[in-house]
Amino acid sequence: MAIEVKNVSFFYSIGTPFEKKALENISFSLEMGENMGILGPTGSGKSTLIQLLNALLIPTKGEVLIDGLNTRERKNGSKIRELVGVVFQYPENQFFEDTVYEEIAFGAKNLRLSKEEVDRRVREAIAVVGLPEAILDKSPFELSGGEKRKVAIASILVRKPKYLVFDEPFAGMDYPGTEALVKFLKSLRGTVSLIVVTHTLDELLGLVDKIMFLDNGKMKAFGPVKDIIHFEELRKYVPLAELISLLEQKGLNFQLNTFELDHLEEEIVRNVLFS
Amino acid sequence: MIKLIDVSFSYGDREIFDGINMEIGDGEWVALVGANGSGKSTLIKLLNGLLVPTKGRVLIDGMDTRDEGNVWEIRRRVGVVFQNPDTQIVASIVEDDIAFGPENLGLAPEEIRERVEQVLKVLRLEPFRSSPTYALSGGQKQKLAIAGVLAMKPRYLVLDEPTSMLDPPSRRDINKIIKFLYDKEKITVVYSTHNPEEIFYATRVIALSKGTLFFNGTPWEFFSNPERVWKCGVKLPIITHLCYKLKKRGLDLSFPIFSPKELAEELWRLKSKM
Ligand SMILES: Nc1ncnc2c1ncn2[C@@H]1O[C@H](COP(=O)(O)OP(=O)(O)OP(=O)(O)O)[C@@H](O)[C@H]1O
Ligand SMILES: Nc1ncnc2c1ncn2[C@@H]1O[C@H](COP(=O)(O)OP(=O)(O)OP(=O)(O)O)[C@@H](O)[C@H]1O
Ligand SMILES: [Mg+2]
Ligand SMILES: [Mg+2]
Repeated sequence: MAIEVKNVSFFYSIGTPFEKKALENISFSLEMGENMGILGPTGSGKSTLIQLLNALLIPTKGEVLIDGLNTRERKNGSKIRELVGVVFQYPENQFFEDTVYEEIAFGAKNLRLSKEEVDRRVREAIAVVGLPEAILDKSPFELSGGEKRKVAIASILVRKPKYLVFDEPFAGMDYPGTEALVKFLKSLRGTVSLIVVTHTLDELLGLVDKIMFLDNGKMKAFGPVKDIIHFEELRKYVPLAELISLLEQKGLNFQLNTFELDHLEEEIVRNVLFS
Repeated sequence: MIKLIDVSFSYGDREIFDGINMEIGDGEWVALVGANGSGKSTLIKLLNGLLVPTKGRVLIDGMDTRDEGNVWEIRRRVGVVFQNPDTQIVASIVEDDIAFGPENLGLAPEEIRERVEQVLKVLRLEPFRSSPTYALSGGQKQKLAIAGVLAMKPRYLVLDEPTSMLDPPSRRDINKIIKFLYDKEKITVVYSTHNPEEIFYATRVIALSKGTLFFNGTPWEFFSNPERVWKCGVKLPIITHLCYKLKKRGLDLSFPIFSPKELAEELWRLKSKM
């Protein structure tokens, strides 16, 4: 089963003076267990694409299929939202509960879980994003920006969706939070599919299988990391990609099958000291 | 000059600062860093009087933020770009939103027009001048929030993670624009960020931790001690991180190195010597 996006175009505000073509003829597919990173300049259509995946937006043209379910059909909506969990770009704008605990537990509401199971998942989820238990009794509105973001991520994690979609999860996140989340996402490898929009892909270079580069609504590049790593534009976004390209130009011969930082370190040591 | 004298601050019974002292001189560029919840945004709100200390005093050019009579003048001198642009965007059309600040300063209409045009241009927001603000992407909203404050030409430019949603080329654009203003208009900059690349523009780094000023020094000093950087909840630039790991493996690299190019050159130099 998989995510399939076929010839999708999306227009905002059709027929008004503000009509805007946000995506143009996008096609790709992602197998269950595969992870994908999405990059591109501001306004290129990344958040639009993500909202098409959980049927929050419906394509103007083309089809989006989640495990074969077409987002166009209304009756599929709730099932699709169960399969695809999305953490939005400014998720804190959607908070409404009185306490952090309730805010996170709300995420699991429609799953018919026991109270104990919900409680277990809430505590697990805050640990994953590096928040202390003491935060659970606070109001979600009285938190710092980064704390809010972590709460929003936790409220999606409790649902344990099959497809996990993040829009800039690391924006405004500190070092411990980033480390904790990356570690957790690595532990999920193979059991879910991750789709992550991020301007700082370095953290996830070892975790994603495919990279998509969007520009002005068009797919400028899409494919396995080892191919896309040499895409010229990407070098402005991913310093490690720049480094790898520069070293290869100088004649270093990398045998990289993953782009994990540790693996890159090994390869550099091997190349510089022993060849 | 900005001066904090024995400043304490609490949200209800939650104490954030207990008697901190700080001076930010004219012409400084301070990078404000620290873990989530360390108090960066709280400190920033204390600088323009949006929050006032529970004890102690915050002085802007000698004016106490607790004195009601100073509020207007302080807001004029201290321009703040807040962390979430949605809290800052007030008008429904982009160019009206940029004009909002200058209008409140009581400037002449021609002057307002001129400033709006200028910031639309430098921030490359011209194509969006008549767009509804709700129709902007996350990064475009951040640019708009910055534009509104720049149009007010504040003497103290205070930015709370202003580029967190922007792609690296756009982020570097913004950094350069602010650097240009800093050099040309001799403004003072306070800039909070979680992105280590942005810290280099600063003349001084202040790291907050548990309500104290944990570190106070140059960016170079800050990054020369990775353990301390991490202790402050701050990331190392990825290239610096790799450089650190390689050095620990016995490679004779200089430290810290920040740019991919520099690291590539050094590695090549090492390899050639082998
Ligand atoms: N509701 C809307 N009405 C009209 N246009 C919109 C609307 N929402 C977004 N747009 C436009 O569609 C384009 C794509 O927006 P989108 O939010 O998908 O970009 P993005 O790649 O996520 O950008 P960012 O990196 O800044 O978050 C942008 O040019 C934006 O101005
Ligand atoms: N309105 C509020 N009421 C109560 N506590 C608050 C409020 N706003 C923030 N806090 C708490 O004060 C502390 C400092 O928050 P602040 O927003 O200043 O942190 P920050 O350094 O800006 O963090 P971030 O990097 O996440 O933006 C946090 O622990 C936060 O939970
Ligand atoms: Mg977006
Ligand atoms: Mg903050």
